[in-house]
Amino acid sequence: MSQRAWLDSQAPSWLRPASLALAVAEAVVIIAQAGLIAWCLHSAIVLSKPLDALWGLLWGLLAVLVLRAGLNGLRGLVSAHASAGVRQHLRRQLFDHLCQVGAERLRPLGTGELVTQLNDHVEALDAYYARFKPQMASALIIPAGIVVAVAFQNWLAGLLLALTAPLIPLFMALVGMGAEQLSRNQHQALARLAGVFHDRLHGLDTIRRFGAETREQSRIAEFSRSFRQRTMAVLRLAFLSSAVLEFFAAVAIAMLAIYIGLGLLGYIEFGPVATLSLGSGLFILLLAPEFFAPLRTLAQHWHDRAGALAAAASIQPLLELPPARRLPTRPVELETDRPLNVRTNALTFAWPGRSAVLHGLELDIKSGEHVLITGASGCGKSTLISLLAGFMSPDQGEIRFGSMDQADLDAPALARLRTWLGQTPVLFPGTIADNIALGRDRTSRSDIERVANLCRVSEFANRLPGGLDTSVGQDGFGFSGGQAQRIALARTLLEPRPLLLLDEPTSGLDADSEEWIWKAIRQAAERSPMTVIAVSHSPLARQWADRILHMQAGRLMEAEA
Amino acid sequence: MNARFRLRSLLLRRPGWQLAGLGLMMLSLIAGVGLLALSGWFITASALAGLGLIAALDIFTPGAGIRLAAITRTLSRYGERLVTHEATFRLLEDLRAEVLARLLKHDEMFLKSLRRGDTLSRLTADVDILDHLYLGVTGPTLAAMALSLLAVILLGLIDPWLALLTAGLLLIVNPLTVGTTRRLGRTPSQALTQALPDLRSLSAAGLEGLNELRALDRTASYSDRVHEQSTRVVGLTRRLGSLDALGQALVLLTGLIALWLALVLGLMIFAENQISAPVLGLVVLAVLGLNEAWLPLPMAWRKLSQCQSAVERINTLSEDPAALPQPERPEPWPEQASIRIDAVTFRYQPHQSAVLEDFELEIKAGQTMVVTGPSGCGKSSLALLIMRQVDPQQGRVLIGESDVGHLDPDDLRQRIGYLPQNPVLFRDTLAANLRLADPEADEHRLTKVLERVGLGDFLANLPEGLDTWLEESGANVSGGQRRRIALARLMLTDPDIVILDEPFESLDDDSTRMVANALDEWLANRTALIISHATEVLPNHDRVVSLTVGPSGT
Repeated sequence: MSQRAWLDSQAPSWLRPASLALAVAEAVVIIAQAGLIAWCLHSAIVLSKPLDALWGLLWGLLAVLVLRAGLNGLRGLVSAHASAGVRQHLRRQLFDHLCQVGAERLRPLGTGELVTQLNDHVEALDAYYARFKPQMASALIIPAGIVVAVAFQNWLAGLLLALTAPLIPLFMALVGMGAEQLSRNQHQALARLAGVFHDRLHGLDTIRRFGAETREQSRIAEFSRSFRQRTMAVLRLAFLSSAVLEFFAAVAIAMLAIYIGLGLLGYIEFGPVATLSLGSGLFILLLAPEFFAPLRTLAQHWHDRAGALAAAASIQPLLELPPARRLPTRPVELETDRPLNVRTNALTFAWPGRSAVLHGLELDIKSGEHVLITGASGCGKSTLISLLAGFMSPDQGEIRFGSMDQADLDAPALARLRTWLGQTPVLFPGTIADNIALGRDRTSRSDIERVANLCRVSEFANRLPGGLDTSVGQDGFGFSGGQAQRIALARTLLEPRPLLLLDEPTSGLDADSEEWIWKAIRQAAERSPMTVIAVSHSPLARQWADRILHMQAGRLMEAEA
Repeated sequence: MNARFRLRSLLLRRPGWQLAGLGLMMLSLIAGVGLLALSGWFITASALAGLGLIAALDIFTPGAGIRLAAITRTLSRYGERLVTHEATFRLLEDLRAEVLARLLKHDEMFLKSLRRGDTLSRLTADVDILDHLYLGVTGPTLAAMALSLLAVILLGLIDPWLALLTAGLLLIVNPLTVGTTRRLGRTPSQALTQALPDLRSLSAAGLEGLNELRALDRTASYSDRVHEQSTRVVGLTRRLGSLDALGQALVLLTGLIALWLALVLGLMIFAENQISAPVLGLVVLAVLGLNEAWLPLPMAWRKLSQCQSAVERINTLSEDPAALPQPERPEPWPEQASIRIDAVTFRYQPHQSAVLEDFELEIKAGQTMVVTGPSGCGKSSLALLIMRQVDPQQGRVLIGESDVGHLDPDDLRQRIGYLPQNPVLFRDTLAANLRLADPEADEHRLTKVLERVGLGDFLANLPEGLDTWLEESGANVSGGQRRRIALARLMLTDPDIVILDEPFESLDDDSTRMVANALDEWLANRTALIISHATEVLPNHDRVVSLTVGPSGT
């Protein structure tokens, strides 16, 4: 689907008919306005009617004028409403889809980039639905309506406007090309300049260290200057396209005025001059600027379109990413919540575009066992943990928890069966306690406190003014890596599960945190028996494990404990 | 010195360009109104002449006037857009230089703190947003006011009541509408500056912690949370959009009412024979044309609050932060640049555990010391303490016999050469990046120094040589090349003390040896502290100190 078609398919189905209906109403009101003004003046000047005879027309005109402003406001409100709906819906759809695609496949895309796409790019669609689309309807309907109305009065004047009608697509293409090139170039130049500037801000300390303050200031000025000169060279051309539209509008008004004037004077013989009167002449003249106005507004909104197309180009591919895990067609019920044995059968997995990292991997872990998996970095240990956790589906092979096939378990069942702790702890906006509970409903405060003690979260939390209710990331309470990981561990252990998967839980941590984390894991397993599978380089993990498996070339071997 | 930016003061820059832009804006508006007014006059007069109601009409002057107005309109619109854009670019140019100059007055911890989160991107965007100020707000507003005023004066020549009602509607009601839109928009705009970053950080945390959420099957409830915040953001933008629509509709209504009143009043005074029919036609069409100038203004002024918060953010960043106390009368730089760290205890945040506790270290002048240890053991804090980027909670840091707190900060910056763990390269040419350290260095010297750090081949393979453009933070050079370019840049200076933070990271063995040799030579007679987690290859050194993680748990 082209980006334009995609953008249009996102709009609510009523937006198009509503925009067209409003545009028709607007066209009628505009024509009525011109007719009433012209008729009033004609009656007073040519027919010499007294003012008292005109009040009916004048009140009618006032009503039409109020209606016109009202329609204009209504159109804005309706499109703001439509745009809000589209953005809200799209953001939710996109976020839910990204959740399905999974962390593993999103990581190469970069969180920062994704956050921009999810928030700023979705917001960038506002102008498209709120301004560009409705204006597009007006630009189609209103000039067409005006040509018809003018032609009824004077076919030659109508023809003159209609002659510009085939030119309108040409105008629009011209304007579009110009405006698009304009906004693209301006965008690029600004982005580059912003980049250079941002860079200097990033390296302010470096600039100072080398005493290069004045030099870099003039360097930035130099860049700004050369960017300005280059951009202006482009703009000189790009502005021409809108100058063309401006030119046609001004010349058409001038030509119509002169034609009507000379016709009324009787200097012109050809065409339907005989039927011209002051009334019809003014009617035509009043409509001439209205004929071009919607087109000119459309040209002003053209960069909204360009912005929306760029945003669509970045959002659309994200929605086409495949989900990381196939959902079970017929989910099965959990059979037990006791520790299970974990087996894999000919497990094979390859990252897109790379050779298989796991091929035919066999794993057999008895229930309640604590197993450590070691191996060189990049050998597929983390991939194995992600597959066991059900974050991704394997290319081939199966994973069995007891007698159940993991592929038959849906997300809630998986969540009751296994829990997981990764390498980089992520704290969500909220308090420490919120982060431990993570929105799970049946958690009591005493459970949270218990697990906070177990994972030694209380130890540093008690030193904070709000204790466990201190907000994360606010008021300068950033946590060290070790502290954050203890919170993440507390989250993982809050509700014990039969299977605990650990992916480098202590890498990059200080020895103290490392020791405590392994201790807390052991204590948790003593309290409520569980099968634990860990990937780690930590020497402490070797002491902790019942059994150590070594991974090499996508296979597992028994190693010395 | 720290005069705050003001929107007003921003607008007084580049007056020549701004005035020229304004003049052209007005000219194009006047030509537009003139075209309609003149046409109205001409048609009415022609109709009367055609009916024989008035004597023969000179058709050449109005005809020429109409053509002139049409051409002027086209040309001045074109010129206006060029000039206003030129003016805006120049304005932004000044602004960038000034923001940079202001920020450069700060101490380095503050500058580092700027790098956290999106502060810098926002600052960059804030400067760019200000283009709206002139292009969207002041220029068009002044032009609309001036045009309306001119119209009022000219209408006053025809009839005082006509002038009064136009003045009332265009110069009083319209500014009121614009002002009200702006006032009503302020609250949602401000709420939006809070709500949008909140949405960003909420969704960022959700995407980063996706596995945490999936492991506990909390994605659905987290998605609800994101959706709730998204609803808030979208709701605010919708309120602003509706406000713009209503503001525009009101301005349109005001203009149309002005048109109606002009028509009624015109008909009245025409009936009393105070004006001629062609003048009546002129008045009605002129008032119709006046509206064009006012329509974009409610939205433009509503958006002004964005500019205002941008200026406020720039102001907060360029205010004096609470810096480390500076010595009133700094001590002279010691002749013997030895370093002593005396019973230092240091922690970054009060509630965090100490990175260094009761720590002692001495480096004699001219000696090279290597500090090793696992990550997080306080190696990098040592460098910050010696450069006095941070002050210890207890103990002293001495250079020679002087406490670093008593030395001139400029001396500290210039006499200590520092290679940070993530050195910054600029989007600029290779040569310009190196000349940051020594603007006088000729090409020969630059080539030499690159060869010394083992980048001779790299340079030889660059088609544009020293003029090669380095992309985003050096993205088109590898990590190892980037560190070596930064090292080469440092070696163009002549400091007494050198601190190298992980100089060999991401270097292969050959390059490491080459760099180590180059350092041997350069570090002779300088006091040096090399921070490294690896000890296999090192330049000549006098001592290795191995830091371990203290019992305090760091």
